[in-house]
Amino acid sequence: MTPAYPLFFTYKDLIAGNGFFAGVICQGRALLTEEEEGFWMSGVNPGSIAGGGTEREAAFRAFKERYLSVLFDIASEACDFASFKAEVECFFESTNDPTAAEWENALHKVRNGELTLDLPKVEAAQNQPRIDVVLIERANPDANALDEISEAA
Amino acid sequence: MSSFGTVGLQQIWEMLDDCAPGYTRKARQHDWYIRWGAKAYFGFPLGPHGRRKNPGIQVGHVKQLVRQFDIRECAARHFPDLFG
Repeated sequence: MTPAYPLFFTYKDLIAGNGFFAGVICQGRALLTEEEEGFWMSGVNPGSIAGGGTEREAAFRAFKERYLSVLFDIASEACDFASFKAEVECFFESTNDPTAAEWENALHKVRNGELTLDLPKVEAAQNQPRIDVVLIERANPDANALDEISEAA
Repeated sequence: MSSFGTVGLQQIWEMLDDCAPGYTRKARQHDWYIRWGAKAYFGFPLGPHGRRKNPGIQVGHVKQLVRQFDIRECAARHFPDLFG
């Protein structure tokens, strides 16, 4: 059985669109699977991206790259901020149900002490998936943040 | 087959023709956008060097697409090594 771990991730990104800048703050869920050749990170929310790499950090980067490429594609096609926001929310809210079921199963194993990772742990009940898409009218360095990845517990 | 193996893009389209009839796909700048009824897949890769006729797509992406559309049983008939 391939080991699978329930992850939370938080990304804060500034995206340029057609005539606007948007801040996208994503608090998502993903499943990390460990295979013989490396790691795969598969989204739960958003459910339609994945990324793999021979090292765990490479899988994290591949997943983030795919996430950004989707935002870039949406930004290219959206004629205004409202369209961009609606499509990004649609992207995030399309839960991958089978991956979500695997995520819940992995969470159960973490809680039973059957598996764990050397990542910060976050209570699942206190970290519900959400996405905020905000129009940037005045730039502020307080919005800058590094990506965060943690294990659900 | 591991998630790092590859499947030809044409085989994936043939699988979707059968398992997700009526699906639509659109090549965007970075990814394929695939829609089937109320379900959508936003981040399906174009291939390792951008758009080509039949690039190899890593199995991990194919598995996630199949999960998103919940078509595992049908997809297993096309790719028994992936889902058998």
